[in-house]
Amino acid sequence: MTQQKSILIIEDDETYAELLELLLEEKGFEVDIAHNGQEMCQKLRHNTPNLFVIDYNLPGTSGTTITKRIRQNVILKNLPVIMVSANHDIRKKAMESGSDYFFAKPISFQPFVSKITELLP
Amino acid sequence: MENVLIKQNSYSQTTSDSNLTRNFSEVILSSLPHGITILNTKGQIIFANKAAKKILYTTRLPQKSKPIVNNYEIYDEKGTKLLQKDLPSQKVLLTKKPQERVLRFWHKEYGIETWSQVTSQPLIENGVMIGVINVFHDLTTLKKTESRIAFLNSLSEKLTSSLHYEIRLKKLAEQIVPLIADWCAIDMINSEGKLDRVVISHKDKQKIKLAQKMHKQFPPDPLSMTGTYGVLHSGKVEFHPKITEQMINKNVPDLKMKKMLKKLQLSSVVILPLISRNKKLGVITFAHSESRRQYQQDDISFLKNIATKAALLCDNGKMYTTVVKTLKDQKKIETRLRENKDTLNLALSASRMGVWDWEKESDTLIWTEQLEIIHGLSPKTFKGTFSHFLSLIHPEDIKRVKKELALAIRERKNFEMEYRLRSAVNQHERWIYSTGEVLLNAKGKPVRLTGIGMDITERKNYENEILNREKKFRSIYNSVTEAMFITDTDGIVRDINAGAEKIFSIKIGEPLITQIQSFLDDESNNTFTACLEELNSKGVSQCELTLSQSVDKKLYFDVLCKKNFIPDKNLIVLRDITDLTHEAKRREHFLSIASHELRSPLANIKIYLELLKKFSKTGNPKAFEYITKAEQKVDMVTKLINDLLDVTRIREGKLDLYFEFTETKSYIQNLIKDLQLVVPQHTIIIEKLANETVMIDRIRIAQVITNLVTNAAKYSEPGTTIHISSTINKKYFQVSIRDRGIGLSEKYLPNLFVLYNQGTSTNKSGLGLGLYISKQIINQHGGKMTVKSTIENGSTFTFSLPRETTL
Repeated sequence: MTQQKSILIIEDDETYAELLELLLEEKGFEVDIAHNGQEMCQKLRHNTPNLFVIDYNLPGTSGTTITKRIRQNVILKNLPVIMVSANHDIRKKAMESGSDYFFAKPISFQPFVSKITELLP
Repeated sequence: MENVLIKQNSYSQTTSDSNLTRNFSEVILSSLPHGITILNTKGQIIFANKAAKKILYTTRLPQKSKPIVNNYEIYDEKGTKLLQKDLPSQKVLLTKKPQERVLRFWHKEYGIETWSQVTSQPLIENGVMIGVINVFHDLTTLKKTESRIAFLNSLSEKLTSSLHYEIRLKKLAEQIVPLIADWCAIDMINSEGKLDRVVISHKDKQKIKLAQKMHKQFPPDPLSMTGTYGVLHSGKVEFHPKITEQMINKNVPDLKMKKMLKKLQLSSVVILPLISRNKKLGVITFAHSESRRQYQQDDISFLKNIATKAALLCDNGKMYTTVVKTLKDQKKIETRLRENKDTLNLALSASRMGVWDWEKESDTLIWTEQLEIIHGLSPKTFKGTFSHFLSLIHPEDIKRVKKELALAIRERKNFEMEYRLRSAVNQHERWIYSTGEVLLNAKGKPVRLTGIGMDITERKNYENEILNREKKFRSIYNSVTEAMFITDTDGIVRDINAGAEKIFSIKIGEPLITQIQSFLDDESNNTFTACLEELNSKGVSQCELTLSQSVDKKLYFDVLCKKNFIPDKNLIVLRDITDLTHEAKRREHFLSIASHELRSPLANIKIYLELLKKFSKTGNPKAFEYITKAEQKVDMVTKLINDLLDVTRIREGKLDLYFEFTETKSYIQNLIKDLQLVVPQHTIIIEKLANETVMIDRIRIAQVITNLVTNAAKYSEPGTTIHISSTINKKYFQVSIRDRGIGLSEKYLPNLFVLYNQGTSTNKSGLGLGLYISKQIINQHGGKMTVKSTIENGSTFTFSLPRETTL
């Protein structure tokens, strides 16, 4: 078995994050959760994930700002980012900030997983 | 007189004529101012006093044997020629009753005309008539004056009725003949300095032809010191009181001309120059012929008077021609002018214009009838004085009018003025425009003013209306909250309104853009520059700007620009939409919260169901089925919420598209693969699949195709096919989705893409927003969407997207 791919979910809705975690782990991914930008930074000190799933609506720093910072970071800039939001209108913003894909909540799980698989190296 | 008669009565009838005469005191009779003649019973004049001789223009008594009519032609007041028997004295002899009559005597030899009131009384002694005494009351001067006044009056009246000076001159000549002259001719200087015969008038047309023929065959010599050219050059009157055959023989060498001249029978000629404002305009010739009358020295001043009038006519005529030219510019009048022969006259009345002439010294102010009407007077009621004129003017304007005239006279210049009428005080104002010239005499002293007056009330009203409009505009301009700038076409600020003053400190005379720049961020600066460029090319433009008044205070403006809103001026209006923007932002915020809050629980439910599905695989098989159904319901609710939010977005104009390069073939193939799962009871058949790269919003176009396919499934029987084909040409990428369903009646087609419309569906679920949203998405791509449908034969929905989007 190849090395497990790790996904960092940045999502303030704890329940939703946990449910996603459950589903993705079930698909064989290693999943970690951060509830805001700050937490994400802490997590990144220890591990670098293979892919980000970022919610747009976050307390403090927004999802798009985080994506922009990722794209500016020497180590992180080439990692795939999937942005999710219940607000469908931010899709354009999400794509322009440097996200690789945008999923509108409620997410249909099947396409979500295929997209992740597609984006992972 | 009584005494005379009494004295005379003391003589016997048988006394011889000479005795009778001698017994009158010639001294007494001579000193009487009236002419007195005494006739014997045979009607022969046996005595005439000095006054009588003067009246009859004779130095000696007519021969007794010859009747008086041999020497004179005698007419009554009506112009009927009288015979010897018609004379009052003759009637006295017949009837023995006193007679009285006004008579005109024309001396056959001298061509002199005199007028007298003749009273004839019988001389009676002892009941027997011994003779007749005639008393002559000389009316010549009176009559001459009377007829001249009448003549001049008729001139003023008739000549002003037409303004074309040639017509007026012709009318003048017609008036002159035969009262003042048997012949009248007027020659005007042309542009080459030569004389053109403009008018020749005589009561006999044959004679006119003769004169014209002569004038053509023997035109006057421009270098001559006499005749018309002589008068023109010298500017002095040429007067030939009596022309004799000898004179013609002596002065005219050409035989033919001699013959013609003799035929014309000229007896007396006066040639006068036509001079107006020290400018020689031509000459006027008066001549007597067959009437054998002769001009006297004292006629000259009268003829000069006529010449002055004629000169004025010519001069004014030219002035009027100019006026009319100006009037012609007014199209309305022009059209009417064309329809009418008497163009000038019509122009005058159409423009409510009249002519005036004021002789300052004598305070004679002549007005044409039109001018009287303009001033609110009935025709012929103007008193002809300056004070009467002043009395017609609005009290507030009198001072100004006086001042203008005084200035014009003092500086000898043309003047223009406008005044109101007194008659219109407290009513609608009536305005008169008057313009004129100051005419100088030979010494350069102002002697008369002449010009035209015009009713300009309508023009004034129009001006006032414009002024009012301007005032209205000003008050709106300054009372609205919008900031308004008026700039030149090159962008220099010329005016700003109160609204603009409140927001910016903008200087007049400097370019708007450089002044406004400091308030704008880079993005707004670019927007505004582009907006002004668009204004120049398109004439109107619009944009939205964000202005920073301070760090934490931002103002939002809706900008509307209009080019040449008045000639060569642009109007730029900035409407403060800060509040509106804030409102919109609040609404925006609400929407994003709403969409977030509505979807988030669904998102959670969906994941719960997803997880449940996994766990249910180990439990009761029914559980999986129920969970799958619950999931479908969640998807349905999600779609409804999405549709509702989409519609709101579209209506707010905030449906943002994200364009990506898309390979059409794989895009549609993948999409259909997913869709087939959504409509498992139908078979989707891909007929044609173009392969190109286009710029589209993948998600939104997928939404459209999904919509169309699910619709197709919804309205057709399970087991039927849904056909999809995509084609591409130079301009468009086109996708068609065809079903074999129930189809649509033609009457539903126009409203198919309208909001909240559900077509024919009666028992189908959904809000009916799908087609509206789809169409809007296609529209936003710059494409179009059409439908073809027949009942029972299915429907075909087609959308085409431009290959090269400018969005």
